Formats: sequence, C-alpha cells, structure tokens
Amino acid sequence: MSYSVVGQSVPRVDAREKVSGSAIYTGDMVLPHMLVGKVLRSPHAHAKIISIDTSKARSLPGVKVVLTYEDTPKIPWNSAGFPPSPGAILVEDQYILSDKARYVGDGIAAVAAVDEDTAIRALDLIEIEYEVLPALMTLERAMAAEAHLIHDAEKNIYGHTPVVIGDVEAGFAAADYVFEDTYYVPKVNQVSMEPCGVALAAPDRDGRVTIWTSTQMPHLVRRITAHALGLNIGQVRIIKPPVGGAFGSRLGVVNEPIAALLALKAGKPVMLKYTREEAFLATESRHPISMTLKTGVKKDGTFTARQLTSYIDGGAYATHTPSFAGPVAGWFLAMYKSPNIKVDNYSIYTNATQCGAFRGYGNPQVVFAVESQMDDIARKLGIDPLEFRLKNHPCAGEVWLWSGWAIESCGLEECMAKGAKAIGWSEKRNEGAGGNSRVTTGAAGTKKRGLGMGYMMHVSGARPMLHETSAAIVKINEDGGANLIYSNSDCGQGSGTALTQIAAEELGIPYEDLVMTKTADTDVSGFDIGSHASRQVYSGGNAVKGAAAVAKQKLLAMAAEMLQTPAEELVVEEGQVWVSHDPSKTLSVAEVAHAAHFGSHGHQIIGAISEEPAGNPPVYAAQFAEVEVDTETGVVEVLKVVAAHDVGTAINPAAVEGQIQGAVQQGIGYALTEEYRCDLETGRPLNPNLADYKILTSVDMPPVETILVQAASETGPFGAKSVGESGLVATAAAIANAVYDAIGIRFKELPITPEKVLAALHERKES
Amino acid sequence: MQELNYWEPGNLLEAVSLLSNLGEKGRPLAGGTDLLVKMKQGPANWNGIVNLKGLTELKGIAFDGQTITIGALTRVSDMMADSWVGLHFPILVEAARSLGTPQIRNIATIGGNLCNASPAADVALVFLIYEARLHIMGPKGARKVPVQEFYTGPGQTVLEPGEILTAVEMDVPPLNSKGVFVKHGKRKSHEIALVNVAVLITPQPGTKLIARARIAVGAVASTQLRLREAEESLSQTVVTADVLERAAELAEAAVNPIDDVRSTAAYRRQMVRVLTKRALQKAWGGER
Repeated sequence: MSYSVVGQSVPRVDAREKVSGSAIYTGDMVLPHMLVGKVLRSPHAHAKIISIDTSKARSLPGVKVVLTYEDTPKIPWNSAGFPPSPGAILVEDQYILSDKARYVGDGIAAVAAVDEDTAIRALDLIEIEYEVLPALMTLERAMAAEAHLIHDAEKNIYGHTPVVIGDVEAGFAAADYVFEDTYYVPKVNQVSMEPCGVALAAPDRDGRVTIWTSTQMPHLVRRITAHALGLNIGQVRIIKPPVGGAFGSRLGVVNEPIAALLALKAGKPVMLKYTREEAFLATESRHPISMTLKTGVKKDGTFTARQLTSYIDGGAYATHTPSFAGPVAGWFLAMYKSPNIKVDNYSIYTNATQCGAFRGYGNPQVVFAVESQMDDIARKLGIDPLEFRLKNHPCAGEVWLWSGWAIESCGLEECMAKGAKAIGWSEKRNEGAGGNSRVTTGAAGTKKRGLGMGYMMHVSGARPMLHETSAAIVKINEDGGANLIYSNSDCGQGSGTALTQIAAEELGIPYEDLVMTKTADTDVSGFDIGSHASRQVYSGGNAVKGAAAVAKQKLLAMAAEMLQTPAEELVVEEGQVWVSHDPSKTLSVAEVAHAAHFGSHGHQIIGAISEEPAGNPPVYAAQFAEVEVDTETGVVEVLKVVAAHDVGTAINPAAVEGQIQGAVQQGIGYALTEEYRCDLETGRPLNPNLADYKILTSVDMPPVETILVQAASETGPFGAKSVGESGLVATAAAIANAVYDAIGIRFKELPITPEKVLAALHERKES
Repeated sequence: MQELNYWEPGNLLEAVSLLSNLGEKGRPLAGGTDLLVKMKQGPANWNGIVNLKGLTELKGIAFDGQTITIGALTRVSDMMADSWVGLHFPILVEAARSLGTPQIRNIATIGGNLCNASPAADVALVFLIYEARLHIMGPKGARKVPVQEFYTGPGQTVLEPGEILTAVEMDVPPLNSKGVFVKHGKRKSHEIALVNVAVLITPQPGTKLIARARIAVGAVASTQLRLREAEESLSQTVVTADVLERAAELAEAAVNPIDDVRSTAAYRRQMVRVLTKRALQKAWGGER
C-alpha cells in the first residue's frame, strides 16, 4: 500500500516552538493578579495529626489563603485517570489535603500568597503537632499481622486479583522440570524534563474554574477534579498546553484539585508548580513488586503450568494499584501459551509515596521476571532462547489472553531474526554456562562480555478493560486547508504529528495544509481518554481518520455535483479531486471548499466522530543487549542495544524510532542505575534529586539500533498499532540475561549495581 | 525562611573585614554551585553572604616557567583552557573535565572546589599530588598552607573566620613524571565520585626504578588523603605486578570510607585497591 504522507518522517508539528524555546508551558504562564501556591508536606512517613495552628501563617502580610483538611470538601476521591469501566477498580481514599500523614511528603496544608517567598514563609509559620506512628516502608512490615493500619481498612493488604485457567497443580505434576524464582523490582521515577505537578487555576465570576495543566488526560482530569471539588463537569475547564514529558506520571490528577481549591477560595488565579524534589516526593512513580514465578515445562520446551504470585507495593494511597494489578496479570498470562495458568496479585499499602503509571504499566516489571526465568529454562533444556520463545508465544489468529481477542498481526519472528543478526547473536553469544568460552578484554581478562535478549508484547490501548473513547472534528476551510479539532494529549511523544499525518492522508490534502489543535481544551474538543496505554495513534488515529473520512465523503459529494460525475468515481489526493477514469476532469479541494462556503449551499464541510476503536492489536518486540562486565569493579557497561519492534504501520518512522531510543534509555536506567530509595526506618527519601537519582546521560548511552517491523493491523488507522511504551519493556531483561551470559550469575533484583555484581562475584569465588 | 544579608565588597581587604565581622554567620560566595544548593536545602546557621565575584585580583593564571599560580576565583572552565596548565598539569584538566557538567564548570571556581572541602572533589584531589600551596589572606595578614594540611574534616578547613583563599600555586613536576586521574561513579557525566584516585609517578632517570610516587584518594575518608605508606612502598623500586598490587593493598588499608546513599563502605574500600592499581599501571605504562 502506498501513501502520500503516512510512512513519511515529516517534521513534527511542534518542532519549531520546541527547538527554539518559544513553546509556552503551563509553568511559563502569568495571569494578572496571579498568586503562588505552596504545599506543606509531612516530614513523617506515618503520623496522626494532633493539631494544626495556621493563625500565624494567615496573619502574614501577602498571604491570601491557608488551607488544611478542615477546609477541603469531604469527598473522597481517587487520582487515577480511568474512565468508569469494567477494569477500573477505584478505591476512593484521598482528600485534597490529608487528615493523616501517610508518607514523607503527604500534603497537609496549602497556602496561596502574593509571591513565592511569602508562600514559603507562610508554610514555616504553620504549626503542626504530630503523633508519629511506625513507618511501614517494606511489604513485609506492612503485611505483618500486627502492623498499624495506614487507612481505615481491615488490613494493609487491600486488594487481591486472582486469575485461574486450568489446574496449575496438575500442570506442575505433569512437568519434567519445575522452576521457581522470586524477583524484585524497585521504585523508579519517570523524571520528565518538566517536573510533574504544574497547574494554573483561575476562577471566573460564573462559578467556573479554568485550569491550565501539564497533563496527559484533559477530560479525565476534568472529571476527577470536578468530583473532588464537588463541582459539575461544566464548572471545570481543562486546558493542556505543551507538556514537557509525562511517561505516565501525569496519568490522572496530580495537583489540579489543590490549585483549584486555592484559586476558588482566593478568588484569584493560583499557580502551583512542584519542584523536582516535590515531583519525587509527592507524585506517582513505578510500582515496586515482589514476583514469585513458578513454571512447569516439558523437556521439549512446552509449558505445562505457569504461576505468578505478586505483592505490589502501591504506597500510601490506592490510586491505580488495584486496577493496575489486572494488567500485571494480563502481561504475564498473555506472553506465553500454557494450558494451566494461575495468578494472584496482592495490592498493599505502605508508607511510601503512592505509585501509579510509568511507561509500560507493569509490563517492564513482569517481563524482567518472566524473561529472566525463560533464559534459565532455555539453558537448562539446552534450547536456543530464540527458538524457545518462538515455540511458545501467541501468534496472529490466536486469542491473546490480555484482551480475549484474536491477534491481528504478528511480526515477532522477523523481529527475532533481524535483531539476532544485528547484534551478532550466533557469533558472539557464549553458549552454555561454563564461563571459559566468554570473551574477555581488559588487563588480564578482567572484563567479560555477554549477549542477552528479551521479548515482549504490549497493547494499543486498554480495551476491553477500559473504554477508549476518542473524538475528532475535521473542518475544511474555504481555501482548501483544514482544521483538526482533537483533544491533543501529546506530551512530547509526537502523537499530534502522527494524527495530523493520518488526517491529511485520509482527507487527501497536503500535510502542511492541515492544522491541528496543539492545545487541548475540554470546552472545545470532544471527550477523549488521553495519553495512556500507547493508545494515541491507534485509538485517536481511528477517530481522526473517521472524522476525515466523513469530511471527505461530503467533499466528494460536493465535487460530484460540480463535476457532474458520481462521487464514487472521484479520487482526492494532495489537494486535488479528479475523475478516476478521466483525470482531465479535475478540481482543487480549494475550489470545492470555496463553492461549499460561498456557492448555492452555504455550508462548511465538517466531519465529526466520537467512537471507540474496534480492537486492541498487540505489538511485539525482541530486544538484544551486549554488555561488558568489569569483574574487578562490578560495573556493567552496555555496549550495544538492538531493539526490533513490530509496531504495525509506522505513521512517522523517525518519531517511532525516537520513541524506542528514548525508552531504551529509561530501560537501561531501570536495569542498572535507577532506584528511588528511602530510609527504611523513617521513610525519608534518600535521593529525591537528579544528583543521586541516576538517570543516564547522553554520554552513557550505547549505540541503539532500532529495527522497525511493520506487520499491519486490521483495525488500526492505515495498519498502525503502537509504540509509546514498548521500547523499555524488554530492556532490563535483555541486559540481565546478557550479564548472565558474561559472568554466569543470575540477578533477580534490579538495579544490577556494581556493588551487587562485585558481591556476587566474591560470593561465587568463596563458595 | 530566614533573613539574609548580602554584600559585594570592592576589594580583598573589604571582603576580609566583612567576613571577620560576620564570623561564623558569614559565608563567602564564589561560583555558588555548592552554596546556593545548600541555601535551598533549608535554614543554615549563617545569614550573611559576601559575594567575592567582583574581586578581579583573585582571577587569572600566571606562570613563571617553574611555578604556576591560579587565582581562587578562576573558573574551572578557564583553567581547563589554559595552555600552561594543559602542558604541565594535564591531569588537573582531566579531573576538571569530570567535574559536574559544562554548565557547572562555567560557574564553579577553583577556590570554591577547595574551600567546599568535599572529600569527593575532583579538581581538589589533583592539587594533593601536585603538592599545591594555598595562599590565604585574613585579618592577621597573609599565609601559605600546603594543601595536604588544609582540610580538617568534611566541609571543614583550617580557614579562620575572615580568611579567604586567594590563590593556588604549584611547581612543575620533575621531567617525565606521569599522572593519572581515575574517577569511579555510576555514570559517565553529572557524577559525584564514589571513589577518585590521582597518582603521579616520577621515574629515576636512566633506570627502571620509580624515584617517587604520589597517590591521593577521595570520597573514602573524612578528608581527601595522601597515601604515604603506599607511596613509600613504590619509591626506588622496580615495577612489577606484585609491587603495584602491594601498593594497592596498602592504599586499601589506609582508607576509612562510610556507607551512604551513593555506595557502601565495603565497595569503596575495594575500589580504592582496584583503582589505585589501575591508575599506577596506567601511569607507569608498559614501555619503560
């Protein structure tokens, strides 16, 4: 299939404003009489609030509003950005300000003042008496029978998500080998360049509040904010300017309700901008999970039973966690075929900052565990790891257990073949676990090299677990150009560009002639779920394509009248309409649009649609890593990553590759350097800053080779599937497996730090 | 939030006078890359800032053919670009290249790197092996202190209230001396050393002997250390793998690291051995 603009790496619609620094983000905005908001945060991980005295703060000149729990609506809410859906389990355990300190950083009071200095001074003047309770910082302590209860619930274990397919006990009995391993993955932060938590709220005289916010989901944030404030949907307007990265951190409400409440009480606009430290301290990050995997397998590599028991540390508030337990089960059970599968996922409260969405939504955690164990199983059975995976993964036409729907297309085999060739799999890999054949470099052979791989599948939306509604309007202007009105929740990934390409392609006009609403505004665009679950191009793309198709149909009807030819005989491409069997009979789209506006009809050609996409086609990827382990320092250096991804049709290949490259950077950090840590006794964070929380820099990055495999979907726009999250899902597993290949040691806990590697090498030497 | 007083003295004596009057409540501001971070971290026991940036007499580099003098207010990036520093003190440039980020190096000063007295400082470590002398001006007049006597603890120096570090001077090391700086961190940029090591080896002319070795390590004790025993073990010796290993073991024995968010004491201790050995191997080379 050949397209005019789909499949082209056209410049991004926001390239000029971003690279020139002229894009105006929420935090750049200034309104007349704008106040500055600040939040007072608990220094204790777990404490009752005995008393709060705000009188000194209130009497400080320049302070306009001081709020505590007493001033908040007594409406419990949940910050997770989910539409009401079968898979959304929304435990409402939050208030705009807390009645009890449940983590270090929990918002206890808020102020709005004429400037930042005054606001900070006011925070210092608020006097709070706490009764400090034991800080439950680990799963073990939170789950202990005698543990203090973090919420008014029976136990700190507040959710159980079971899945049973067949009979795993029978399956284990029928196995030739049973493998059982426990893996642990830490808390990591999204570290978007624009710190998470920026909102500017402005009340008006009609009882409405407008909130400019750095969000991924304008409509769902409108819904949750209105609920938390006790307002109608119509009283809240959300505007999303450019967003400096999100990666899931803005998947729901962040600080919009606090900003709005301050603004409503003050009767003036309030800017509430979190610092980097606050973004670490008080916004959602990736769930730490303890996962026990039990797998029964026949000698020929067929699974007889697969079991996952996971304990999910959701932190101090439920937010996403009980719903998140569903996809965690889904990623696990849908990766490999087995007649017997059992999953038990438990959601647990601890006194850490609440966890939520981070690119991959549980899949990087699960894939690290599953693919580490698969590597061990393949080695034990003496089967090539690639063959082992190809034998057991679900293929096109088979039912994918994540969604329960048939898989539309599968490019995994091609990903495996091309990826293996690019990394040098058959030449460079050290087969077996002997250790003698390992490539060594450095003085006296102190550095050892190895290759590893990991495979993954991911979604193109969250159906049928969640609704995936999108809406789009395409209107053709009198000069033949067009506007696309869409709730554009592009937060840097480039989806706005891809959607513009899709609309232009379907409509048949040049890419440059179509203008999209770069800013999302809930007063303007139709209801859209937002950016989550890698859905924008698939789900949003279908709506955009649908709206363009309706507009095109009307355009062709008008042209048919003008050309006196049946509409079905007309073609429109690149801004020109002609008769398919007689190209000399032609009109420009501009001529048709002009006639529509100002001819006998007097109408603008508009196509509008609101719909859910038909499916949820999974994507596949195989990632390969080559590492060098310094056996004297324990440092793991990644020499090369090959990321072979089946994304369906790549609407904008450069943007797709950019998504994968950026994700791999986060994946390497997850594998080797990133961990948000706290003192286990007090719960105080140890590294809420970019000096001690180690994201990788450009000079740390190895060459990353991306390979795009385009197994087109049936239901996606022009065959597109997804790419937003999948780039980091298999990276940590590939690296852990490469480390095993290099030194023969299995790391079941991330990150694989030099300290851990060296300790493991010494332990092996001694034993 | 606390009150803060701020001065911009016009000359060195005025700065000394302001700082002596403030006593423990005063802090000099040079590049500000450490001071401003500390100010943001919350209330301190000081409330007066004396900005030294206007003191042009503390900026610049002079070389007389034997001794180089670097003004304390010289920016790290300016020192890196100086051709005399590059020629005679190349590992100072190497260490400077690993300090923070380009933006930080464009603001941070040489004097600030020393006076902040971080046990992990990169540039300051190299001054130890070049045996730099520090020029200090204070209310009682000027004095010179060898850099190895400058530190008294983490963030602590011999500077008395009112005293200002004005310059660093170093002699060109003996001919054919070879230095190496090794920094060990979790990433290759924007990094604070878990351990850093600087060595300088001077060969005995016409022999295969080491005449003299200097070894300094950082981030593994309350101050940066010169490792005298390890140095002594190398002097007047023929280099073999065993000799270097022995020196590295002596280095490991001499340090006293701590556990913190960045690493563990045990790991740092091992790294002192590995990195000292590697630095010595690299400095000696294979070809002598």
